[in-house]
Amino acid sequence: MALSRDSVSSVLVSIGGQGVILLSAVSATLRGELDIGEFKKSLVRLGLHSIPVVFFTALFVGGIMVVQAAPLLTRFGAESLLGWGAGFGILREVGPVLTGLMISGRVGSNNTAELGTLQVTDQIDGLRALAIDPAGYLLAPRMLAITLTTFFGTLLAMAIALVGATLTGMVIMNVHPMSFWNGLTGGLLGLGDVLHGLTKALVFGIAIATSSTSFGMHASGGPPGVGRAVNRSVVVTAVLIFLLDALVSFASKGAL
Amino acid sequence: MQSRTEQLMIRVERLYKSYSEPVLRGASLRVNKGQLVGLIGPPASGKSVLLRAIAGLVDADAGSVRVDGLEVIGASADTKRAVQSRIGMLFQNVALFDFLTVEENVAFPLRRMSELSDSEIKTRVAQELSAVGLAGFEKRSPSGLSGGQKRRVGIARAAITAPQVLLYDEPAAGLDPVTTSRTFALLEEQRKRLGAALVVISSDIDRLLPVTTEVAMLYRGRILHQGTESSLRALGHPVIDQFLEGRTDGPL
Repeated sequence: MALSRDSVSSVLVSIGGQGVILLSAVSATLRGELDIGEFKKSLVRLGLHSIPVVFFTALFVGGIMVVQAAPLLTRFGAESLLGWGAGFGILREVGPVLTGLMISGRVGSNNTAELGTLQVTDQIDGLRALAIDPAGYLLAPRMLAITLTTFFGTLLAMAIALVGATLTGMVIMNVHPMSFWNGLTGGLLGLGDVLHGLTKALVFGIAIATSSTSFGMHASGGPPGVGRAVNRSVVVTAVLIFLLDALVSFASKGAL
Repeated sequence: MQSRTEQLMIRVERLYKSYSEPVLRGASLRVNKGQLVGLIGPPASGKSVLLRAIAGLVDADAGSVRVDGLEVIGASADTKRAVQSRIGMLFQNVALFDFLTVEENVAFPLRRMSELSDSEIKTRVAQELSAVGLAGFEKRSPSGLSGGQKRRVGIARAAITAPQVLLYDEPAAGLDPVTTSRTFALLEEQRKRLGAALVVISSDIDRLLPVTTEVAMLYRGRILHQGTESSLRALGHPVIDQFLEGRTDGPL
């Protein structure tokens, strides 16, 4: 019983901590204290350097979706539905979730490790002692960069996964790219599906940024503490992504 | 002539702070402009917490900390920043920014707080690094420095803005005897040159005491006595005597 009370208390503290981190970063940004130089650096380091991993993952996942669907579609002679099927899955689900998990694993864990190291070696207090608010100098730039990286990474992943699906459909099912394209744009899919995926991307981006930053800023206990923070950050963020995925899907049912 | 109150830079009154156990239990400290106060005491007596509270990095449970007349405890973020802009601090584990070079570390406070040009900042950084005996180390990374070199870079960074208050937590830890003596001589020189109020924690009391203007002995979260070294020795307090003499027999 005591254990469950501790667990509940720990979850509530974690949620509270994430709320405080998000509010302080938003507040610093609104006050104009976001450090532009650090934001640019974060965008390059966290965003641009993530492009290759997002590119190749999306390319193969798009192809794998077609490989998995091919036997059934061929059996029922429904090859013309390949564009719609692949597009529906990629735009609404696979694109944002896959990108979210990739960004969480690559960028989120890196962010937690860096901030955790700064925290346990007193470098965050070092900033405060120099009258520099870590919210504007460290948190807001990183969190904004991670959110934008997830959003635009998802957009890229959607496009690349569709290319992967098109190429695979052409090679293993002899579906012409134009036929794939017609299935994609034939009316069953629309802007709403893209917006649905991008809404998820935005929500996931904020979740990854907040969670990874919060776990880093609350790291304690030296290098082992940083390791624990990274581990918790990756696990909690992955759970959050699936939870938020379900919530957005239910909330937007009928709307998007 | 200025009165004592006008010269007062740091005033800590009955400060309390607990974590899982009480750390500070009514600590009080006064440091005037141009003073170098040595903060001594056995391990875990609350010295570093007291220094952090003065810098506005610890929210005390009760009491008052005033730096240059500004109350730190319970202050707004803006007031805390105003206080922190008057302070230079060296942490116990130095806390150099490992994502910056030595030059960038030392220049960091100037870039954030002053309107100086790049060339002026470069000159100031070179002067400060030369003062701590690290001329030519500008492009090195903190990870490539020895513990003593990191500490000296930390001292240079703390003093680069010529702050009115300097807080040093173990500036000579892990240094050889010669470098330790040079470091304390540097702190004394800073006191004279900047006219700043310095609070220095050091476990090397034999080298610290000669450069202090006053000493404060912290024991179990309270200042047992603050005064000159001779007044401390003349007090006849068993804890103070044992600590200063380094005896193994006694209340400590």
